[in-house]
Amino acid sequence: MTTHTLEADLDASVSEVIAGWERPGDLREQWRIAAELGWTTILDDLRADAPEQDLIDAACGAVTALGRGGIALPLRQTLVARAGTPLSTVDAIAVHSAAQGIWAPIADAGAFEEAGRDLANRPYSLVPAAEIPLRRTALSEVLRLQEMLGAAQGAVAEARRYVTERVQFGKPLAAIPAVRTTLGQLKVDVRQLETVTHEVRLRLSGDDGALAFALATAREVAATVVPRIAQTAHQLHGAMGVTYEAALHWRTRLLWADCDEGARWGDDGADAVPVEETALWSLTAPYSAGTNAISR
Amino acid sequence: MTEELRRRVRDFLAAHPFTPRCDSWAGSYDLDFSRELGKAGLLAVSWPERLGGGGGTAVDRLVVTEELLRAGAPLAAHWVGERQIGPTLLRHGSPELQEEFCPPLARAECTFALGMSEPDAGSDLASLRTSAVRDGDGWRITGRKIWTSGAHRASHLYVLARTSREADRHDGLTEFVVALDSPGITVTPILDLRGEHHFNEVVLDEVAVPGRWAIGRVGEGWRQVVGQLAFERGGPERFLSTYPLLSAVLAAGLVDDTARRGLRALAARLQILRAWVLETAQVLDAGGSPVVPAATSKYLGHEFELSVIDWARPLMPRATPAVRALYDQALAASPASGIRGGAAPVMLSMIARDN
Repeated sequence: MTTHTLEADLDASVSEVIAGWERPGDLREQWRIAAELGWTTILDDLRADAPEQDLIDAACGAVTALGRGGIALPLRQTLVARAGTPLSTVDAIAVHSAAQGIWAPIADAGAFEEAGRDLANRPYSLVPAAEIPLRRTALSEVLRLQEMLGAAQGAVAEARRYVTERVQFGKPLAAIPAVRTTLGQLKVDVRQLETVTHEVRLRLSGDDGALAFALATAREVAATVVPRIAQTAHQLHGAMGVTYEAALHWRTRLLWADCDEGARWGDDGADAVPVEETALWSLTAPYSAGTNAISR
Repeated sequence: MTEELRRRVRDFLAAHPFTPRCDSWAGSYDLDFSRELGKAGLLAVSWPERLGGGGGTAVDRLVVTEELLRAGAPLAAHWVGERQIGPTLLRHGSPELQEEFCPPLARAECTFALGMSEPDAGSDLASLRTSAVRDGDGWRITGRKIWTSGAHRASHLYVLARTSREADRHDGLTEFVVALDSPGITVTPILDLRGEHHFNEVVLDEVAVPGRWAIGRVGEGWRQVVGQLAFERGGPERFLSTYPLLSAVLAAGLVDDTARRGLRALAARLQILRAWVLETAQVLDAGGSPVVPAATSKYLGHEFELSVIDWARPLMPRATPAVRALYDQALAASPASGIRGGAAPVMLSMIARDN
């Protein structure tokens, strides 16, 4: 899997910062630190016509690390809202309609009434859905996918740790063949999510048809594997995973909340999948971004 | 190079008519077609030119095989030799063995069957019992191999055999080339779910093998074969066996609203799998042994192949006999395709163990 240096750097540094954070912690204090460290302004200078891959990668790295840590912060929504249109302050909580009103009630701009809290305890408002340009939607969706990917990676790590350490019937749970195959399935699901997310990210700078196709397939994969990842991780982790004290608890809530957020799209974009073989073959080819990439 | 290769394959397919088939790499045998591919320089594209290859990369080979499998072209005659035996010889064989076998393999003049599984050794390959004992400068091999696709037609057999008893059963295994016309070999057909003859049981009774036909180092067969499994599991044939059915359903205009929604899920998996096999090919080009990535794509690949069948089933009452034939081929091949190269639970266990 191609991993960009900047993404890895941001991922590692964000992971290091949040390692000792409480869950749930003081949102305002966590946000102050995020702003101070420059996480909120990563996409301020992003060009709409030719988005710089290194900035996208950095944003993805930060959002993935938060997801992996089970930290629900309004970072991805703020990044999308600020992308190419920086705000006067670095610590403003901003939202974009592509994120369907998540965090809107506590945003620093606009007056949104709180309609409820989602499974990650994020306030949301029922903002009427506006027509959103494809590329802005895709940016928002890439960051949602990355947040889910991070949370999924965190869930797998917890499940793996548990089955390796927890002894039942005189052996670690991982000695049971059914446990091993279940863990294998879990890892295959996470790899699927990783691959489709990566493909959308690469196509942000490609043509509209290729981007719309990757977006449609990524949403479908996420809607299928994310609930399964959460359920499977809990099956492996046992009852303890549901508790506030369990690291899995926070990853699961984020996974479910983000997955539910994506349900709004339904069949949107399904017509981006062609019913003609030549076009289908071309669009399913890995995006030609690297020197070794396959041609179509 | 890949773009030009893709065009060359498409031009070749247009100039060499055939009836598309599902599972064409295992079940569609046409030696003339394979030899024409060899003449066109579309076999062994990743092997060195001095050994009859194209001097390209594993990614180049992926491009060629993707296009051939996509079309459902008859590939069974050359498949094992070109996919697996040649690369194994290139990695582990002596220069003499490479000279002897690679050029004819690249022309499909010499064809191979694969003698790995045994009646009592399937997923647990290291438990195999076929033995090879020294006989002067050569060896005598005795044992039984099963599921040896194409052994009734191939010129040679790859055999994994035990050459010594060690404390660790992964030690003491050696890979051999065996001529299938050797005295002491009996090939018995095993018919599949459609009554077709692709599989065989091969009995070897003190079969003489020249010493130079041992591949690589004696006793190192397990370490060598683990790398070979990436060639066997990590390619596009692990998810494109049923693709000709998908393609035919689209071409026939059978897709209704329900099928269109299902097509999105299929397209998503196809996209994932094509990315994964490309990554595997890139690792191979870098000299790596992508065992777990290959197991991962093989596992999901079989799931995809089954999904294509399930997606097509409700559309079959409106299908022509030609499309229906592809559906029947796909369905009949599906149980074996989940097992050959490693059964799903074994793949998942390997994936789980990897950190």
